[in-house]
Amino acid sequence: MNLSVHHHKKEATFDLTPMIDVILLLIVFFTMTSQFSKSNRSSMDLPREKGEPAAAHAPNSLVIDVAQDGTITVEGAKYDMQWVAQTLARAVKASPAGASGVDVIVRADRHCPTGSLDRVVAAMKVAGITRWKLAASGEEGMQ
Amino acid sequence: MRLSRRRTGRLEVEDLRLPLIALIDVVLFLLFYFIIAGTMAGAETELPTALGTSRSGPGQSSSLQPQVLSIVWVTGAGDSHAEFRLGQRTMRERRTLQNVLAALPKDVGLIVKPGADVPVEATATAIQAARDAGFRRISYAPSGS
Repeated sequence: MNLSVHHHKKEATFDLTPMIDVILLLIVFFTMTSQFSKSNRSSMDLPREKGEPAAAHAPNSLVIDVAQDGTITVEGAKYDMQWVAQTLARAVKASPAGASGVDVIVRADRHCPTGSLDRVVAAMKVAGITRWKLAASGEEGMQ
Repeated sequence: MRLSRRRTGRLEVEDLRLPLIALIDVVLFLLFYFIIAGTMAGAETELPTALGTSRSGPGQSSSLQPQVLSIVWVTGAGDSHAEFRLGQRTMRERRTLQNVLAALPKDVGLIVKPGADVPVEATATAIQAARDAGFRRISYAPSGS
């Protein structure tokens, strides 16, 4: 077996390794940043039910967090029920499809009394919203 | 500085080395990506619910009244638990609840009516059990309605 190689004059070539590195780094960076922008929700102990995969939400969607002590939080800021009621009414008014075009997702702590959730539900009812979603953790629940 | 290689005309050991650096780079990037993506994969799910009262459900067209599933929070000596009540039947286990719900007619819908002190988890359990039993028209009646 002839293993000898013929050494020609070394040709000028592009070294692709750093380019591949940079491209992969950029792909990872942009993927991660888009993921983080989607997961801009506070950590909560949600009811442990499998639920249904979250659908694409309407532009007029509102995510309301209800903590164990009944505190209402929207996008990290605490609000009272009056603000929630006004915001829901504004969202319904701004939606071309009316109340049916407003997507309300309530993220309630699993230990929170349902009475606290009912305050949000009452505000939705006043605003004319009849369909809403209760967030779940996606895990299997109690037997 | 002289950088030219010796030309012996024979295959040398350094010529047989695989360019592992690029491979390691790619593998590390993929590892990093899947680790981070895996930690964020715990996506939340949703339980779609309509609003209704114990007297009428949304979009109720038939004269039949939807069935009402009440949830009460029972506090005993050292044991507190949710009880699901459907007519005269009282259930504690989720599996029993689902079996009972599965035997009911689905077209009239179901109203879930929890008490104010019932934890949200029990309410979510009732909604999930109803969905698993085949109900698609599930209404939520706030306590006191």
